Amino acid sequence: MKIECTIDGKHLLLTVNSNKPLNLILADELETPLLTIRCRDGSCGNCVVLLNDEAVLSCLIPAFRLKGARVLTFEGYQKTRFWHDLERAYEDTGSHPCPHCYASKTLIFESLLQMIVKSESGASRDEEPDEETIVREIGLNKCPCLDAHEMLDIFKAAATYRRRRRVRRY
Amino acid sequence: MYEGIRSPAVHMPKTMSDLVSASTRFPNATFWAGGTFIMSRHDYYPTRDSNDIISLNEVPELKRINRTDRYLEIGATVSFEQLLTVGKQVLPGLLQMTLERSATKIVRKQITVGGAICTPQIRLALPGTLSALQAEVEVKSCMGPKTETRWLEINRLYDKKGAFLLKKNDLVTRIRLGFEREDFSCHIAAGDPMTNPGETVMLSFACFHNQSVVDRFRMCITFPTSMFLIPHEVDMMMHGTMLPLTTQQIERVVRSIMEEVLSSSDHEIPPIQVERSRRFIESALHELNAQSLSER
Amino acid sequence: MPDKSVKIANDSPMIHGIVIRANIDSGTLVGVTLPKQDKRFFILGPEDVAGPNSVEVHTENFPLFAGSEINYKGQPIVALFGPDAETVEVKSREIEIDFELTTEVQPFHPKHEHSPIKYHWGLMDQGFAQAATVLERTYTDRRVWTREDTMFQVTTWIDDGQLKVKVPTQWPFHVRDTVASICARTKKSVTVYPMAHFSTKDEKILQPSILAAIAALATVKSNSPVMLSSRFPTYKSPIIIMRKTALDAQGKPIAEEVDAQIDQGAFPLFTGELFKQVLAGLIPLYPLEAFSAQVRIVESHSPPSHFFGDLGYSSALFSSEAHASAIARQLQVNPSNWRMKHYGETKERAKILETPPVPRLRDLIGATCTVSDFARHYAAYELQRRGKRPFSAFLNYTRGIGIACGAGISGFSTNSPYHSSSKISVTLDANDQVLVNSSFYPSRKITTLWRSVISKELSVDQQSVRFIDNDTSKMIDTGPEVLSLDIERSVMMIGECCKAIKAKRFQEPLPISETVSAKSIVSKEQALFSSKNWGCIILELEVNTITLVVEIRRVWGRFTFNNPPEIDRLRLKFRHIINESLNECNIMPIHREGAPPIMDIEVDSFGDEAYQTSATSALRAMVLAAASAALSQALNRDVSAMPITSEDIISYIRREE
Repeated sequence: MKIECTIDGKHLLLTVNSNKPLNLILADELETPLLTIRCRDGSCGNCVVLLNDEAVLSCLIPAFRLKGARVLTFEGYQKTRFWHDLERAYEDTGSHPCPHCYASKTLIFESLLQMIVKSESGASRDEEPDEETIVREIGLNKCPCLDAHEMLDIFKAAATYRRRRRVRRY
Repeated sequence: MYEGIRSPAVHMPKTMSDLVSASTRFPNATFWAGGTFIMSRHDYYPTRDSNDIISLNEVPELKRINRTDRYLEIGATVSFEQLLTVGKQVLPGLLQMTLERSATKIVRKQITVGGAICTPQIRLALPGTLSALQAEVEVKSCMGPKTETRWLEINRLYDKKGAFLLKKNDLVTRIRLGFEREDFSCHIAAGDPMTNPGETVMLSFACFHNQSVVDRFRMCITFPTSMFLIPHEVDMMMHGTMLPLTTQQIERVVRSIMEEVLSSSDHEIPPIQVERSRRFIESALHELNAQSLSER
Repeated sequence: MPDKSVKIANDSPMIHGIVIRANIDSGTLVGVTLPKQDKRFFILGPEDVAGPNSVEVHTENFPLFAGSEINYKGQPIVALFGPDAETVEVKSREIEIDFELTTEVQPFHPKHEHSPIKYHWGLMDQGFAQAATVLERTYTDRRVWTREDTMFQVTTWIDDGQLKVKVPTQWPFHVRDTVASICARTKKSVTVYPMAHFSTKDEKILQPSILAAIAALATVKSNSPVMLSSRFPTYKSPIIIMRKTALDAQGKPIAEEVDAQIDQGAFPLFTGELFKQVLAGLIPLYPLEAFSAQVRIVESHSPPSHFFGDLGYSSALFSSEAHASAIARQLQVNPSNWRMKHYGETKERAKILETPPVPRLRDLIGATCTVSDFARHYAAYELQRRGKRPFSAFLNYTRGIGIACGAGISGFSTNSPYHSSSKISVTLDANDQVLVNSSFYPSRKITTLWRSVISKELSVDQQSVRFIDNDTSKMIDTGPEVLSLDIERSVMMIGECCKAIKAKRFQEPLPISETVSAKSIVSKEQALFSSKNWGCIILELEVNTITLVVEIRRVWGRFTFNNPPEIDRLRLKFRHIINESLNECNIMPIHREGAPPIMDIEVDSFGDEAYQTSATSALRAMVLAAASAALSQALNRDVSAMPITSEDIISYIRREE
């Protein structure tokens, strides 16, 4: 099956099996280094990417759903300005995910930060995530390297940077 | 593309009639809603022979949530997250609780209501909750040029062991919920049905009462791989009972349901599931009592 | 340096492979039926091994591919290679392997028992003859890991006659040596590019070597670059420890007999070191007139059990600390008070494990108990335990609180063969630039700490510290980097270099260069292990009587370290280890009123010598022991097998009811 999509800003024409999971496409076709750990059933939460700006488990996305889609892996995300909010939050709090889950947890944090932006701008009916939601969402990635307090501290710090960014922009 | 591995053809019907015709033309094709269950199977990929895929995501009727005077109608490919945005005023509390506890927001965006009802090997929490809420499902049978549509009570989709009873060419298209609100409801679950089905127990309970007299008592106990139990006898037994329940009444209900639990499986049920079910029922009844007392 | 991007200089198309493993525990291999002939695929088996079909680990070894005999489930039998990963995976399902099962073998049934190793002092018979009470308990550390979710990926290729290997590893020297031996090449003709490895418990020490050797064989055979992916299971077997203690009329321990049985699986590895680590953890912190420990190592048909967090220290320390709590429970006294009263110095223990003074531990226990209000909580939960129906679903929880303490060890024992002649040299130049040249493998974790120590000791900017980028051929094999071994040794060596430079600075002209060898920093006391820290943790948990899930409520931890380079990082690391250990014990964090469980962890620094030791394995043991004590209180039964399972909870509850 031929699929046109954009991965990390690059427009690509992929020839892959229609049911091939996105995590394998990224690992095999594009040699994306983040996906060296795979559980195959979505239970480890280590393969998060942004699909059309929304965090998804790439092992649960088949190739045929990528037609015209925009995929952003952690490598691509690192090149965006949003990454700096989280990078600074990690530095400020002294807590950061372990190398094992760094990419996935960072992208889940990003999806939570986008919830704030959307709820504050009225672009979504999503409410701003409460503490339990934040911990639960990050918990999608099963690596226990961050405890709940650290997750909340990181999120609060990153949210502050993100809000400042929005204030400057508007 | 890999030699020896077939890339399944993906059919993307845009209308219901296209969907019916696709399912008639490709009787062995797999209906694809959110894909979360199919893709989380260990043997999903790569396989030599994959069935063709009929993606349901392009059919607008299946993505709609309709509100009529009497019912809330939910399309089969509505995602959990989309359904949650309907709001607390419209969505029964029990359903909302079940959807929220089923998965994280990221996964909820992908799981569809129809997919969660039609999982072939594993029973998830949603069917139990919809059953406690006495939901109905619209089933389309695509038999050649003839299509038959019928509304069924959701519990008729499964037998007592949770086996899915619909035929291969039957398709769940809509789910219908009445607007009558339960006076008390609770959803208790422990374990993960996908990763640890042998220890997981899910209980959905809705009670309708009128001035402390039980009108309807709907409970559903689900073990992901071995049980989908609606104790109808207890429903009848509880009809007309005054709340709060006495200790003896609680014990009787628990005993009666547990007898049914133990007798309804051919295999030995893991002790953890038995014990959890007993405690879930007991706890749900204590909560019902607590609520009825606080309302006085 | 690690994580460098390495270009594969070979124009041939990449070949992909998969390892086919045994699906039985024991038997004889009758035959392997290959799929229909297809030139795009080829198979590698024991007959293709150019050198010996054996992976050497110091004095022990195990076969790379199974020969005619299958020793454990998951043992590599053959490897299949083909044009792409997916077709290889599908094709591999067509391979039929015939086995002959001689007898029905249980994986944990011992097939061979080594003669036990013993350590003792005092007169046991006399001790037990004086006893007013004898307490006997069997502790089982059931933490069995079979992590199969982790995908290993090894790439091998030949470039200008040099066999190159790209692999995530923490022991690049072993990869190089194994590849060279299996492919019958010289060590110099093999270059290893170590990639970042993620193994929080050092559990993947040997797997990279095995995979790299198989991939290298395929590269040599096909003369093409090879990528081999595998879900390689890593395994740790359960450890069973029986402790029998003679107590006098006042509840003071007089004598203790300990018997530890360790199933090392099909091929025992690191056995010498394992015995020492287990012994270090088995000797209790209370003085005894007589003590006898016996460690029995058993071979079985389970997979080879090797490094997983440590080599048995945490299991042994868990049994010691859980036993201390069990004694207190038996005597119906508060376990923290019992520890304060009975923990003391002994010269016999000091020969095995040298620790900071015990009064410092007592202070630590006192501080942790005060901050957690241990006495009040303990008394309240004792009352609840004696209640009429503590497990009723009406009151939907039952609670317990537990305490444990211990000293952390790092790396291997002082007389281990891995204490090599590694060296570090530090040079301070006229521009306050520091250059470090070492024979250690400079991982990011290590260099971060080195920077921090140098910056602190020499008052220079962290950015002015540079490291010489040696290739692995110039480095000495320092053994596997486990239990923070290299961190421990290298930080001490860096500290020594800095001290020597400080003494000469402003007196001698710059640059000043100092070199320190690993031998010079080995403990002068000659104890098997030397610890420079104490830790104490208290856990409060509850068993949800409806879901039967164990939930953590609060954790308090106090640690005292000898001048740790970065106290905040250490505190964070401890939090992570506690979280991870609780997770391993099947204890879940719960949110109370929207807030996560409280975790109050503090690390104090004492002394001014710039070195630290790891407390990772001790902390894991403390979590296990404190959780077992808290569960014993919550469930009103001696919980001596950890992690707890749902079956255990049910059996305890049913017995109680």
